[in-house]
Amino acid sequence: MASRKSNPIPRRGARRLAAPLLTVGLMVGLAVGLGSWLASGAIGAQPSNGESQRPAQFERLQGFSTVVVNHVNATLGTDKLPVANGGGVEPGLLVTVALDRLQIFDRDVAKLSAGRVSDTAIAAECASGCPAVLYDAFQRSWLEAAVESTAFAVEIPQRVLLAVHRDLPADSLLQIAYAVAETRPVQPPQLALLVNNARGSLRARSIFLVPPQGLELRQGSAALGLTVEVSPGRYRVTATDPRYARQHEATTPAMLEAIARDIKRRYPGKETVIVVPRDGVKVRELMRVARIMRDDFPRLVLSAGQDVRTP
Amino acid sequence: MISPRPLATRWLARATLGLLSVCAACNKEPPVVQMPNEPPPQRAAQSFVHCVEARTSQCVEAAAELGGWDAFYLLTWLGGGSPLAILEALPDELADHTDPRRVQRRFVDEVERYAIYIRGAECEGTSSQPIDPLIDQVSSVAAHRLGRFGLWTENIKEITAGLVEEAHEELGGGSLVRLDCKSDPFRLYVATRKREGRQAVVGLTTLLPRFIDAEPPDRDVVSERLRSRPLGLANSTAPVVEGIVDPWLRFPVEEF
Repeated sequence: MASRKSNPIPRRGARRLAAPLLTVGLMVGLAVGLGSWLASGAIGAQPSNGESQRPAQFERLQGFSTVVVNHVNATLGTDKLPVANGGGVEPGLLVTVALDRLQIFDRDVAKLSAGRVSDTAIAAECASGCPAVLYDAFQRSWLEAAVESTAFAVEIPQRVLLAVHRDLPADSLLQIAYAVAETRPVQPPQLALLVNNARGSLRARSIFLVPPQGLELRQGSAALGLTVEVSPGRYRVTATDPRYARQHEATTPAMLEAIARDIKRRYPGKETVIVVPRDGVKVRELMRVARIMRDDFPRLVLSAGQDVRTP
Repeated sequence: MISPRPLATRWLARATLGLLSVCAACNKEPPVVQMPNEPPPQRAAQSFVHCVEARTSQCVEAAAELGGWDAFYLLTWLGGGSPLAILEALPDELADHTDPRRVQRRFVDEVERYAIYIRGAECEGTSSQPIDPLIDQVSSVAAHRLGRFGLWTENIKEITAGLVEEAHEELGGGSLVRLDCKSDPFRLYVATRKREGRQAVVGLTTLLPRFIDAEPPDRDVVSERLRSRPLGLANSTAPVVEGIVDPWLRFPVEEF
C-alpha cells in the first residue's frame, strides 16, 4: 500500500476550501459563543413570518438556538408551543410534533392525524407499548447518530428537545417521549419540552419519565411518589407511599394549588411530582398542572400509567 | 459358489469406461472461467471486500480520489446529518479534509472498524449506481436544508460549491455500490472509480441518508447495530450513580 505521506501537497479541491474554511471556523466559533448566550435566555421566540430568515441575520444568529427557532417557526410556529417556565435551550436531538406530522430535525418520520399516530401497530420491543412507526424512526435516528459519532468528532446526543403543539393529545406526547428514550443506546436521554415563558421567550422545561416497565423503590427509601392524575377539568392527587393514605380531588387550578401547598408543608424535602394524563388531556393542560405545581414541586415526571410501588 | 471372474470383468469394464470418459474430456476445449455477470464497479467492490476480509486496511490505496469520496461524504453529512453535529464539528472536519493524510486515515479507520466483522458477514453486491447524479442530488439537498435551518451563508455556499466541484473532479464517472451482508454491519456502500484502466475503490461507509437509499434497514438490524462492537456500543453501560432513584429518574431519591 502506498502511503499518503508520499504526497504532502494538498489536493486542488482542498486548497480551494482553505480560504472559506478559516472564515467558517471563526464563524462557527462565534456561533457557539452566541449559542450559549442565546441559550442563557436572551433569545425570544421569533415570529413565524419569515423575518428570522433574512440573510443579514445568518451570521449574527448562527448557532443551535437559531436552528431550533428557524425550524420550529417554519413547521409549527413558536407561538403554538405550550406556556411554561423553563431553563435555557441546550443543544440536543430536536423532535418537532405538529398535529399532522412528527419530525426528527427536519425529516418527516411519521404522519399524525389530529396529533395521533395513524398506524397504531405496537412495537413488541417497546416496553412502554409505543407504536412501531415511532420506535423504528427513533431507533434509526440513534443509529445515524452512532455512525455519525464514529465518522466525525461528535458524541451521540445526551439530550432530546421536544417541540410539540400545545393541542397535542398528552398520551401522544408520552408515546413519543417513551419511544425516543427507550431506543437510545446505553442510557435514556435527558428530555426537555420546549415552551414559551410568560414573556414569550423560548425556554426548555426538563421532564423525566417513569421507567417504561414501572418502578419499585427500595425499602426504606422514604419516597413519597406524589402523583397527580389529570382528566379534563379534574385532578386526583395521591401518593405511592402507603403511609400517605390520602386522596384529594380538585376541579380547579386554585384547588390543586392549595392541595400542593398543603402537601409541601408536610413534606418540605420533596421536589417531585408524577403527572399522569388520562384520556382527552392535551399538552397545554398537562403543562398547566406543571405550572401550578412548579413552585412546590419543580421536578416534573410524566407517566403513561406505569406502576410505582413504594414498599 | 460365486466365481471371481465376473467381478474382475465388471471392474475392468468400469475402468475402461472411466478411461474413455477421461479421454473424451481431454479432447474438449479447456473450460472457460466465466467472470461474474455484475457490472465492473460491483465486481471491484466485491474484490475490495474480499481483500478487506484477508488483509484489512492494506487494501486502501493512496490516491487523489480519496479526497473526492471525502468531499461527497461531507456533502451527504450536510444534507442528512444532525445539524447539532454539523454546527459542532464542521470546522474541524473541513480542516481534516484539507489534509490528504487525515482523509486517508478516515478511510483506513472505517475499514479497520469493520474488517473483522465483514470477514464472516458474507457481503454480496446488490446494486450499483453512477455517482455523478448523486453528487448533484446531495448538494441540492444540502443547500435546501441548510437554508431552512438558517445556515446557508455565503461562506457555507462557497464551501459546498468547492466540495461539489472536488467530488465531481475526483469521483466523476465513478459508482456507488451497495452490498448486503448477513450480519453486522449488514450493509456496505462502496464507492469506486475507474483509474488507469481498472476500477479502484475510493470510499466505504455503512449507512447513508434516506434520500440516497430509501430502503431502511429492518428493526432487528438496527437493534443489533445499536449494540455492536464496531460502533463502540457492545460493552457500553450507563454510569452507576449512587443515590438516584433510577437511571430514568436521575435525581436524589430523597426528593422523590
